[in-house]
Formats: sequence, C-alpha cells, structure tokens
Amino acid sequence: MKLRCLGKGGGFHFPACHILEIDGFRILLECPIDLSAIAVFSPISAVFDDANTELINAVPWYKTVTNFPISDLEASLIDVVVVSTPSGMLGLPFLARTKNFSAKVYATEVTARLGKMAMEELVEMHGEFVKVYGLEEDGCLPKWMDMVELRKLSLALKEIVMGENGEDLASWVPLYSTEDINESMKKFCVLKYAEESCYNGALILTPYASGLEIGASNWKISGLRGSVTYLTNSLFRSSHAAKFDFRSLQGNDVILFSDFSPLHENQLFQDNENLSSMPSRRISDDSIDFLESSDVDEDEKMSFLCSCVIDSVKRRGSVLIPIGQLGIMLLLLEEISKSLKSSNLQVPMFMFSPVAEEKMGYVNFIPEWLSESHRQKLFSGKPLFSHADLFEEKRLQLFPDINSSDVPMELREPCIVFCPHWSLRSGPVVHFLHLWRANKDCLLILEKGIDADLTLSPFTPLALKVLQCSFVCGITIPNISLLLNFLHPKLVAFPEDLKKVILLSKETTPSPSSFLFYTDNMTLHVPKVNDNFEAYMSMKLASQLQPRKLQQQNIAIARSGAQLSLQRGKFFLDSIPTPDKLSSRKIHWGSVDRKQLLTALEEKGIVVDHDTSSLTRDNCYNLKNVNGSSGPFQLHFSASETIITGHADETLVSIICEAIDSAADGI
Amino acid sequence: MAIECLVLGAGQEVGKSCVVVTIGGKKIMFDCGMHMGRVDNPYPDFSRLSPTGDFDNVLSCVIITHCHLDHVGALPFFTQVCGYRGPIYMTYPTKALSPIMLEDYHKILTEKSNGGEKFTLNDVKECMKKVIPVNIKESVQVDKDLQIRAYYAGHVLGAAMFYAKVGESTLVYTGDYSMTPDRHLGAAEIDRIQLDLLITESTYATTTRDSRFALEREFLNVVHKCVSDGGKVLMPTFSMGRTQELAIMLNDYWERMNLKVPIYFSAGLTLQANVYYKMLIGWTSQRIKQSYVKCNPFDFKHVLPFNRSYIDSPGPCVLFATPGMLTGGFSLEVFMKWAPSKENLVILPGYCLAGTVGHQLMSGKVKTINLDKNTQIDVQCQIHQISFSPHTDSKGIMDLIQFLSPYHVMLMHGEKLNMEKLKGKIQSELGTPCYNPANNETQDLKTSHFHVSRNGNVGEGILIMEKEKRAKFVHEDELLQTLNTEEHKVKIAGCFPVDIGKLQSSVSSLQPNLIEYGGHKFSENANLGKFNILQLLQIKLNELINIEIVCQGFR
Repeated sequence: MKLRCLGKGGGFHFPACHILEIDGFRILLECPIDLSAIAVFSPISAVFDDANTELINAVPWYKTVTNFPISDLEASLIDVVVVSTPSGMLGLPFLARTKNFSAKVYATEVTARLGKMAMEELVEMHGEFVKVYGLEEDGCLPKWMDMVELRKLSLALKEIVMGENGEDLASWVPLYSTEDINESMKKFCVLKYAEESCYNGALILTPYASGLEIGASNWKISGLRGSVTYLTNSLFRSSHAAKFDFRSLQGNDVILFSDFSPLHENQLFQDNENLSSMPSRRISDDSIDFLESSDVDEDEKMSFLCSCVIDSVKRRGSVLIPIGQLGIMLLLLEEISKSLKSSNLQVPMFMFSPVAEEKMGYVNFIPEWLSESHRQKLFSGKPLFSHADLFEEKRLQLFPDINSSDVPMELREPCIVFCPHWSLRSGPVVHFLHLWRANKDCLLILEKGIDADLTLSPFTPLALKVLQCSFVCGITIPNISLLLNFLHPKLVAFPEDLKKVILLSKETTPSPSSFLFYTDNMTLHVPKVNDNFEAYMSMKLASQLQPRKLQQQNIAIARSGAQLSLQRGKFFLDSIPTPDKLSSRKIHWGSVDRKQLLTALEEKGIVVDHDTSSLTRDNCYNLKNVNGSSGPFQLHFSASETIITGHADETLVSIICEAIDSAADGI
Repeated sequence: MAIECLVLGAGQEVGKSCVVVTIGGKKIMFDCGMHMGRVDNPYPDFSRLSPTGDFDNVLSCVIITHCHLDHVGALPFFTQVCGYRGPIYMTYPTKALSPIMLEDYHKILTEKSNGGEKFTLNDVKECMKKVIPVNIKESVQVDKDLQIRAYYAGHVLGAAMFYAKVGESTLVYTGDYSMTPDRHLGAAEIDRIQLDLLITESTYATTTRDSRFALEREFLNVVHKCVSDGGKVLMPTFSMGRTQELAIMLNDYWERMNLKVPIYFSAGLTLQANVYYKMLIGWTSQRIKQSYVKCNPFDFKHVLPFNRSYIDSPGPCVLFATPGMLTGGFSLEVFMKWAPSKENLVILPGYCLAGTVGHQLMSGKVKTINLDKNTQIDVQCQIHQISFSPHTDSKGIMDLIQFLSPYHVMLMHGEKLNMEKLKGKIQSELGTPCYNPANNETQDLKTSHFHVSRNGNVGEGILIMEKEKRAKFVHEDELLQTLNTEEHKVKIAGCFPVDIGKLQSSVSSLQPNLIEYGGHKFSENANLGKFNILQLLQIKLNELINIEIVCQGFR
C-alpha cells in the first residue's frame, strides 16, 4: 500500500487530498478547489468602482491542489475517486473533462447532491465575470498569467498565484461548464451511510457519518489484505448532522488520518474575547470518555453571534452572512429567527442563491442524515427544520439572485441576508457589501480561514463591523489519542505537521499502534499488515479433505485441490470436479522413527538381515525380504534423508516407502 | 448448518404476518402483525416461542418490514404486554407511520368498545421509542455475528425487504412488495445476493395482471363518470399509502381535465399523514423525487379538508374517508348516508377482510346490509373495486426468485390453494425447493454450502490445520517453511545397465567454468575433463531415466 499526500488543504472548504494505492488500485481521496485563492481577482463592482486595488482584473481561474493529477495521463490512471464532503468534489469536473478519465466516484447521496448544487452555484456566479469580460479564448493562457504581468503582483498575491517557487502556477485552470458538471455527475456511485459498495469485485468502500456536515463521511476501504480507515475531519457532536460514527471504524488495520483541523486551531474569535479557555467537559459515550469541549463553546459562540446580530438590527443596521457551511448557516438561521422572535423584532430575512430553493427544500426531507434531535422531529410529525415555518410566515424569502423579477425594488432595511460566496469575490454578497460597507451599524459575519485583509481589500474603506468567527470543524487534539486508542489500528499514517501535536499530547498511549508520518507529495510506503489472504472454504470442499495428524499432535494437514474465486472482496475456495488428480509428489520431513519403521516393515515380511549383521550399523540397516526373492538391501539414514540401496524392485520400494510414510511426517 | 422457520402467522393465509427464523444460532422475528378480521384471537401465538415468556434471551431482534397492521399490529402487545425488550428494527418511514396506523386502529377498537384492544395508546408510544430506525441498504450489525440490511420494496412508503446474514448463512424476507412502480413509489430493488432462503409473500400467487396504465384509466373513468352525473364518490381508505397514491392520480387528472368538483380528505389523520409524506420524499419514486425541486407533490392543489356538514350538501364530490374496509368510524357513517342513492359510487381500493362491510360489498350484488339488529342499510349505489394493487403478481414473484436464485423458497402471506399452485410452478420451472408451512408449523431447511460461480482458478495446495488457529492453505513449496522444519528425503540408489552412447564427442561444447553441481564443489585441481564426462553422463542419464539423479551415487 502506498500513500501520497497531494495537498494538506486548508480548513473546511479545502479538504486535504491524497492518492492511495491499494491492491493495485489507485484511489484519489477528495478532489477540491482552493476557492480562497480567487481572492487575487477583483470583484466586478470594484472594476467600475475604480477602487484602489492591486487585484487582477480578469475572468478568474481556479486553483486546484498543487500536485493535482490534471493531465490526461495522470487522470486516466485513477481508478476510484472518494469524496467525503461537497467541497471535496468541486474540482471533479476538471478531471472528468480530461480524456480517458474512467474512474468511478464514490460519495454519499447527500454529499453528491449538495456538491452538485455548490458547483452549479459556482458556475452561475462565474457567469457574472464572463458577462463583463467576455468569453476567454480557448487554448491560450490569459494575459494575467504572462510573466511580465505576474512580476507586477504584490508579494502576497504572488505567493498565492505562484506558490513559493512558482510550482503552483500550473494548478490554475479555467472553470468548467454546466455540461462538465452533468458529465462528471454520471461517474458517481452514490451511497447511504453504512452501505457497502464493491469496486471491481475486490475493494469494498463504505461511508460512515463523520458529523462534520450533513452527508459528510469517513470511509472504510477494505482491500484484499486488510482495511483502511480514511478518517477526515470529524465532529463528535454535531448540531444538525448525523453524529460521528466512530464505532463502525473500530478494528480496521490502518488509519489514514486526514483531519488537519488541529493545524488551524487557536484562532477562535479574532476581534473578540477568546472563548477557547472555556473549561472542557467530559461526556461519556458508553464506555468511552471523549472530551466535548467544543460543545459548550459552540453554544456560547452561537448566542454571541445572535446577540451581535440583534444589536445591529436594533441600530437599524443590516446583517450580511456569506457563510458557506450549510450546517452553520441552518443553525444561524434557526437561532437568529428565535432571537428575533424573543426580542419581538420584525426583521425580514432573505436568502439569495441560485440553488437556495432547492437546497432549503432538500434538507427538509433527508431525516436519515440528520442529528438525533432532528430525526425525532420526523417521528413526532414536525418539519425537520424550522425554516419551513419561516417561509410560510414570510419571514424568510428565497431568491435565485438579486436581479430576479420577484425581488422587491427596495429591500426593507434593516434586514438579514444570507448569500454566497464566502470568498467575497462573486455572488450577491458583492452587491450587498458595496451597499452597506460605509454603514457602521451593519454587520458582516465571516468564517475563519479567510485572509480578511486581502479578502476585504477591494471594499475599503470599510465602516461596517466585521465579525470573523471560527467553528470547530475537526477532532480536537485531546480526543485524537482517545479515539485512536478506541479504534485500535495496527498502523496510523499521520501528517508530519501534526507530529508535535500527537507526540506531545499528554494522554498519548497508543502503544498498540505504530505511527507513520507523511508529508506533501512524498510517497509513503505503508508496510503490509497481513501476510496472508483470508478465504472462505465451502462445506463440500471441507468434507472432501483427508487430513493427517502430524507428530506434533496439535497439527493436521491435508493436500487438496480447490477452485479459488473472488467475490465482493472475499476469496472463496470450492471443490473442483476431479479432486483425485492431485500431485503425487511425496514430501517427508523431520526424522524417521526407526523403531516404528522396523515394526511396519516386519508386518510386510521385511526383517533385519542378521546374517550380514556386520553391515548393520547405527545409520544403516541391512534388510531382507522373508518370503520374497528380491533383496537383500540397505537403508541408510541421516538427519535429512533416507537412502535405499541394493536389490530392491518396484514392489519392494513401494512397500518400503509406505513404511517410511507411517514412520515419519509427510504428505 | 440449518435454518429453521417457525411460522407464527400468515402461513397459508393473509393476516398477522409473523415468522421466527433461526439462522446460525440466531433467532430473528420478521414482522409482528395482527389479524384484522379476527377480534377474538388477532395475535400470533407468542408462547410457542418461549413458554416461559423470556423473549429477550430467545430472540436476537425483531424486524418489521412496513407499517401495515398485519405486519406491525401486534408489536405494542409483544413489547408492552409480553415484555420483549430486545432490539426492534424498521425503516425510518415505518417508524414514523406505524404509530399513526396503530392509533388509527386503536380508535376503531375503542369505538366498537368490545374490549378487543389489548394495548393502550401509551403502549404504542413506549413501544415506538424502542425502535431503531434503519436506512435502505445500510448494513446494520445487530451483534457480532448478525448483520441485517433493508432493501426497497415499494408497496407502501417505507416498505422494505430485509436481508439477514449470520456467518455465510443468508436469507431475505420480503414482507409485501411490488415489482412495478406506481404513482408515488418505486419498484422493489435488491442486489443479486447469494441466498440460502427467500421468504416471499404470495398474495397474488396465481394472478398475472394487465398493464397498470389500463387499470388506472378504468378507475379514473369510473370516478369521472360518477361526478359528471352528479354523484358522490366515497373512498374508504386507511390514512397511509393508498390515499396518497389515489390522491396524486386524481389530482393530476383533475388538473389535466380541468375539473372543478371538490376532492375532500376526511379530517385529521389523512392530512397529518401528508406532513409525514412531505418529509419522506426521499422514499418515494424517482419521478416524484425529481419533480420535487419546485413544488411538493403532496401539496394537493385540488384536495380540501372535509367538514362533517358537507355530508348532506348537494352536488358531486369525491371523499377519502378513514377507516378502510368500512369497518366503522367516519367512513361507515358516510356510507350509511350515501349508499341508498343510485348515482353515488363507493370505491374499494384494496383487499377487504372477511367480516367487514367492505367484504360484503365486494362479494357481489348486495342490496341490503345488516349492520346490527337495529340497523339495516339499503345499498343502491354503484360499487367499484380497484384492481391495481401494491402487491406483486405471480410473474413478479417468479422474476424475483429467478433473479436471486436462492437455495430454498418459502411462501407466506397468501391463500393456501393458490400457494400450492405457485409452489408447484416454482419447483417445476425453476427447480428450487419450495415450502408453504401453515401457521404454528416449523420448517427445517438444510444449507450446506455457499454458491460459487464456476469461473474461479483451479489450484492445489496443502491445508494446515492447527488447534486454536485459523487453517492455512499453502503451496507445497511453502509447506516446510511454514511448519518450520527440514525436508527428509527418501532416495533410491540402484544399479542397472544404461546405454550411454558416445559421451566424448560433445565434451568440447561444454563450458569449463561449470564447476559447481548439485551442491558439491569440485576442487580446482580436479580433472576438468573427467568432470565434463561426469556432467555429460548426468545429463544423459536424466534423459534416460525419469527420476531425480542423486549426485552422491557418482562420488
């Protein structure tokens, strides 16, 4: 098994990406786009604005993972793509549009659906740029990629565009089209949680809930020689998504640990007091204690955010929420509407997105994918999310975009607007930022992991309040070793960047598991965990066996012919039509029990010839056939062989061999 | 290994489905239904399972396939009265819809108030709390050895076939299923899995049905004709399943034909059911799922809630009223009012159990129905029975058996005579052993194999079986190493004349540096020419005699 990390990603919207080779199959784990990099392009409004900006004025290209297998050849070598979250599939059409791309893509039903919506949203918003700049010419590099132009960029931009040594330049690609999306969707094999799917009769892929997002998954990948847990960012308790199903991952041989969230921790609230010092709370999950520190924090964070929103609208300022995490958005929507109601405020909420209607409708009929509390709503006959009621009461309105015909000419302000895109470069958010940026009573809520200075630079000078907020999106450090202890793997492949974290962690006692550390773009050879293959034997074959006990009393052996077949990742041994055609080669081992041999020979009428006793020594017996004509002959013994010499004809030899057979281990 | 099936219900009959299968030492109860037609003895005889009533240690789990009462009706009784506390599995929709069905039924029983109810509404609630919901195709590990998995079955929202596996022993219990999609549900869908046993329903064991389209059109025509003649249409249905399917059909038809006649749902239950349906769109047919994006197909544009005062108001209308089969309640009340009028129509959308008013109407030209001593209903209205059904027909059953090609088939949930015919057909046409045990009978089945496709590679090796270890299959060359021992060779040395011909002639062609042979090093001062002759002799002998030549012999 081999592992190559193509990129460690960056946070929720840009998951890490690997290539795993197992049993000769090449599996691409995730296929993301680094959407934070489009910050180097200026939003369209800024172009007309003549804003003081050094950003690139062009139709944006999109940045994939640095070592992404984007060439036709590399893409055609991929057998399987595994996708865990919607952001993990945004780059898939880039692959799907290459020649000879023939991989099968595995994702949960919900991830595939939400991912498709995210891609459509991206293409739709990208259209704004095309409208302004016109279509790009096919097949030639855009002007901004010219070396001369690139040299003009500021240091910060240059690093995003080119990477440290210019290696990133090749990872920029023009966006795909709607047709590309539809084409790539055809490659999907969509699964439910815990649904086993078999690739090529050999690999079994099973997704289990990771708790990170609705439909997000960790994977069990079972090969012929053992199973791998592909562990992505996971949350022990999620407010909305089905909770992290770590129990189902227990006992797998290897863990590929791909949760990089500890890297991005410790930058909770930027502008506000740090809540990370909250005392952690131990919660007990049956026999295992996991630290649920995040839980309290998250509640605190939510209520803090809500209070900021309420403050703003009370001062008649509007609130702009370009949050990309679906779960967080749903939670905010729910909490804010509750707060508004309890404060008796009649503030309208709007959601702008080409897929808003589809998305909000969709989450209301996937109870199986939601958290326990939401499932209970199904069983008591209540809508899964309260936004169904918000529509009915007209407190929340959905529009495909700001120019759609049914948008009221003047939005009643203050209002609360949810809209894409969190990169602040395209989508309705740009419009609203321009509208409200000078109003100090307005509020913008951003996610962490965004370079706020760069992202907000085209909108300066800013008067509106910006709140950048982090939400836990992975396994917290103290839980890592607890989890590993529970899962009990034979090997763990860990990111080198987290080496310190895991080795310094106080509660690290992963004695049974040995650690391997991987780094970017280096191939890690994962040693074999099992030398043997497992197979199932049919009853018919088993009943045909003629086992023989060895001198070591606890072992029996049998020679057998069998038919070997592979079905759904399992080997089966069945009987063959002519089981008697076995090899006749005799093998003996160990030493010959001479006393037993002589007794056996005596039964056949062969005795030690005492007449020529001078020849009979310790290692050599002189033997004769009592009633037969052939003979005399000798048996020479040594530790490793028995030699028959003298006048022995075929019948005699076979009698002697039979006797030796009974006196030594053999088959 | 053997599989044992104890049939507690739905053996050679329709009603109170319940079978307990013992597979690989695990006991699984499939369905826990009640018999709607029998007030005196509606439940399976659980005492056969455990005379002491200790069900927790006997059963590994209970699996319910769908929310119809003949499949789930006895569950509250079993858990709350008999005291079963082990795991219960059903799909999400079944968990959501079953309580509605059970409460629905409970209401009728209390209305009849003959003490027939053996559990309370609170029992239903408590019972449903214990249910573990599962998703289609999700592999659920009940315990270390037992794995179960649900497959889509059509029939009613949330209906599932269940696959169970212990070791390499496998079976599928279908519950009720339909092999053709209808207006709101898809057709049954299952992987091609190797099975020791398939337990299938056989409601329509001998019927092969016409195309659904024609049957649906007939139904719509009957309804349309009645309302255009000014008549009232009564459809006594249960709140779940049929109602939604028919409502979708009528709603579409109304839309297409631009009809203005009102369609009503009787108050409460049916509307409540629609709230569930809206959340469970994921379990409906592909067509509905896709159409969902803009509007919810269960928001019926033409359907209005019914008000009791409308019963006597003039003019045509269509009314869905609970309960089905006209067993009592509101639908019977309306029936009593509307039946005497010739232009009215009663539609019977499904199977009606013996003993119900619906059953009497189905059985032919009934002119009067005696409800009790004092009540007599004069039946003048038209009666129409819907002929499309959410059950598979015999072709569907045969198709499923052929597709799965299990080692044994067991028939349940059907009428005895028809089952016999189907059994004969399965045995003669498919060559599969088939059984149809009656209630309270036990069927033993031998399963002694797994089925391997004949396309594997043939090989040979040696199996090493060591106590307390897994058996290991090795190639004969690996044997000694695996056993950690040295070979003991048995050799024969003999003397016999051999014609060796002219050896000398080809000496020069040999390489002089070949001075190592058979593990013996020849010292450098050994006569090279002599060695070559020795070597030639060796080669020659190997050609002549087909046994391993021992170099020792020539020393």
